[in-house]
Amino acid sequence: MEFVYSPELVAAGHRAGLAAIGQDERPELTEHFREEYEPLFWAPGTIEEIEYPQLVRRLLGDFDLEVDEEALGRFLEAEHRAWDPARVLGAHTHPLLEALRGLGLKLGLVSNAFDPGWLLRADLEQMGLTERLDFSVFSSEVGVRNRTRRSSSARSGHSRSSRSTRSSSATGCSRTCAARPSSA
Amino acid sequence: MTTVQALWYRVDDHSDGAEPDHQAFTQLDVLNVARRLLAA
Repeated sequence: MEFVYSPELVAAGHRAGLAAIGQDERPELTEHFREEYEPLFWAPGTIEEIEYPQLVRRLLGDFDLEVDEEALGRFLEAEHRAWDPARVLGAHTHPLLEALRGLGLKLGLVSNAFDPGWLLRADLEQMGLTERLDFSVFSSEVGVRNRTRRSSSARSGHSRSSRSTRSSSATGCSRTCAARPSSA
Repeated sequence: MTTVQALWYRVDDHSDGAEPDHQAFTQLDVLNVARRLLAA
């Protein structure tokens, strides 16, 4: 999957998220996000360390919007859906996964994505990837980034006893699914 | 576990990244590597 960043979708995501928690549009919130938080996404090495739900909670808190877990989840889901147009599945991803499976390989996805796992699993389902993968694991679920030894251990636990090969981003995913060679 | 790094959509240039066993510049490269490894 290719992820295409769009400033317009930042605003659209915030509009959708705010609407989901019963708030009106706040352009100043998006402006604040772009000034204070967005630079973190582009600084080398930092995107892997972002805990997005906490970042959103801080962003909302900057505007005196306190949200509980349920409301935060609604914001995140609505924002995530607003970004759907930015997630483009590779044209040959399905045939590739099917061909690899046809070789008798078990297929797994290891992702450093910072979005909550329940949103990312919904993406896999939406893209027809769930049924083409044997397992998937997201850093945001295990709390360990996939370049660390701990996540590597967790990963080998998933694939133990299965004959497998791994492809960093075999599905073509970048932000949500790309895995570093040290840990894919 | 053998690793194949996909490079068809972006270059992974993280300073802490390790070296993959193989690199794939197209999705077909992944399939070719898998076939080659299985045949070996």
